[in-house]
Amino acid sequence: MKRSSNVRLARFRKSIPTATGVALSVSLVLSGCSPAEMQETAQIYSNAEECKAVYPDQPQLCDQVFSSAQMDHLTTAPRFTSQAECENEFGAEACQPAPEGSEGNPEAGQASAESGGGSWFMPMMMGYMMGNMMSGGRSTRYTPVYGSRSKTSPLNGKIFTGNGTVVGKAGDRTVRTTPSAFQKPSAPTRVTRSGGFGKMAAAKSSSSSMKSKSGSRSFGG
Amino acid sequence: MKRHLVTPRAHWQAQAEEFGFDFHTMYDEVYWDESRYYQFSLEQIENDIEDPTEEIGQMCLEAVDKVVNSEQLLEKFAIPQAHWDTVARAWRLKEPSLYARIDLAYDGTGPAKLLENNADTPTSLYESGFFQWLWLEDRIKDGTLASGADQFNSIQESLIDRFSQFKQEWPPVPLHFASCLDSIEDRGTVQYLQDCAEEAGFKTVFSAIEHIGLSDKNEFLDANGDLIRACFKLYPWEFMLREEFGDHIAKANVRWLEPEWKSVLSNKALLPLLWQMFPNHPNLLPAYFADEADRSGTGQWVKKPIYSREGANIEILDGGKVVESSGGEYGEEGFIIQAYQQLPKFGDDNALIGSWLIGDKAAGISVREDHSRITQDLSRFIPHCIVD
Repeated sequence: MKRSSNVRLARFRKSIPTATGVALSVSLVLSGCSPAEMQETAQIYSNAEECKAVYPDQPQLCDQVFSSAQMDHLTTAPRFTSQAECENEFGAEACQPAPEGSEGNPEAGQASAESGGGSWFMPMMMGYMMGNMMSGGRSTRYTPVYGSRSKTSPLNGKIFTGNGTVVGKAGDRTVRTTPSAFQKPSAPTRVTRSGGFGKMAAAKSSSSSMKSKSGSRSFGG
Repeated sequence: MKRHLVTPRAHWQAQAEEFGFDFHTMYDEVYWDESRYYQFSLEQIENDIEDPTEEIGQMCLEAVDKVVNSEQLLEKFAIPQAHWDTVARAWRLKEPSLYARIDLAYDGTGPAKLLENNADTPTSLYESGFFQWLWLEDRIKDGTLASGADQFNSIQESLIDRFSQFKQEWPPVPLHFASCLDSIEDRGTVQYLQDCAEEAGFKTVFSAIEHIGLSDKNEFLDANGDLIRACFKLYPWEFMLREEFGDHIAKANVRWLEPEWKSVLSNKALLPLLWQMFPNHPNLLPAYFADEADRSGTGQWVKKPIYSREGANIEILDGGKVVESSGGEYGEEGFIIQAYQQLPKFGDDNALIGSWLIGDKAAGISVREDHSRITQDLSRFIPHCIVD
């Protein structure tokens, strides 16, 4: 035989088959667990007040989650070596100096000590994302979120977490996300330069002859 | 080699949905087209495609060895001088290759002719290795094809084997996968490779090409701020070596798939070099560098930019006049010419064979059809079978 003996592995199935979708999702709810790929709803709040407007009977929890998110923001927000690098990614006046000694791990402190300055810049927190309080069980999931107004950043107009997971677009109040998006980075991303590769692809996509084909052009061949 | 017109499977769209094949229709046009299929004989597959594919693969490796050891050739291949050492080092260290797709003009008779080697960022892998396989299985079940029908397609098993080998030989690092943010086709191809790598035991992490960052120690980071130590990138080396971030490749200590030396193969300058090294080889077409481009004054030739993707900036010349061309943004690095080879025509369609190499073994084929003589990214993918 000139072909693979089997390719139909569970790993390659990306969604629940349409015919049995309803029955399966019911059983998932009943068993109280869902696979990691299952998306869940989460709320985006700029501050505790917005949370209280939605959960008037839970003011303490709203305050508590907001201040925890602020703490996480201080220790885990991405770090840049200069204000300009940070603004390049997040937009003008969207960045602030990172608090001294808040890098959250010893290696980071050492690295900044070696470079002599120890000053890093980080974006301001746009708000926080909170998992559904009512179904969250013992602990409510939350994480600080960020936005970018920088025209040169691929993250422009998106809402994303400190670990870079895009969860929605600017203005979204309710987003769909995965549990992994709530994971706290073990240490802040220390970005000395961002933007990555992709500049030539961007230049070629935006050129006239390819515009008509939309931005989804392949760079494979 | 025959083409048959058939009624598509009623459930193919639902099946595509189930398995995450979300680019079966692109730019409002069908891409996966099972209203027809191609039939090959086992002899055609084994003698005319499989063996020549592996032989061409070996010839290409000989060409790489020649290029990385010659400044004159590195220049002809438009590899930026700052990266000559990096490319040569990856070759010396025998950094392994994962895959390549060799595009062949073949009509069922005579030797298949090499059009080009997509050695760096080939796509249509998922359709070839996975969805085409499901199609064959269903078509045997529903009686459209005889129970003995086969397909030249061990792509998925070969990919998993290849990843297993890397897993054994490499330090225990996660394998990153990267493609451009806005291409669902590229993301789909990368997801498929990720699935194969996970099947082989790798932990995989996706990061958009645009989100790769640089650490304070000039190492590449993913969007989580984690170090990238091994990375499959569906992004061309000729771009990477010319972008600002490319300056850090030499010291960043990343095992890339494909490795840096693939920049020599995924380069149309390969075609005239192969013709110089293996003149009159039955699977090669005459091809020349720009300094002999005056040969295109008579007869039919194809002018190809040294760097080009998805059939962009190709010109077909007849007696020195352009008779067909595709637009695009490539070509600034220079051109080569290659003798024109008519693709086989079935009805209104030109058929092109893509022959997959996984490591150095031929592992399967794809057939793509295009109304135009220049196969581009809007061509349609057609499944095939082997029935004698």
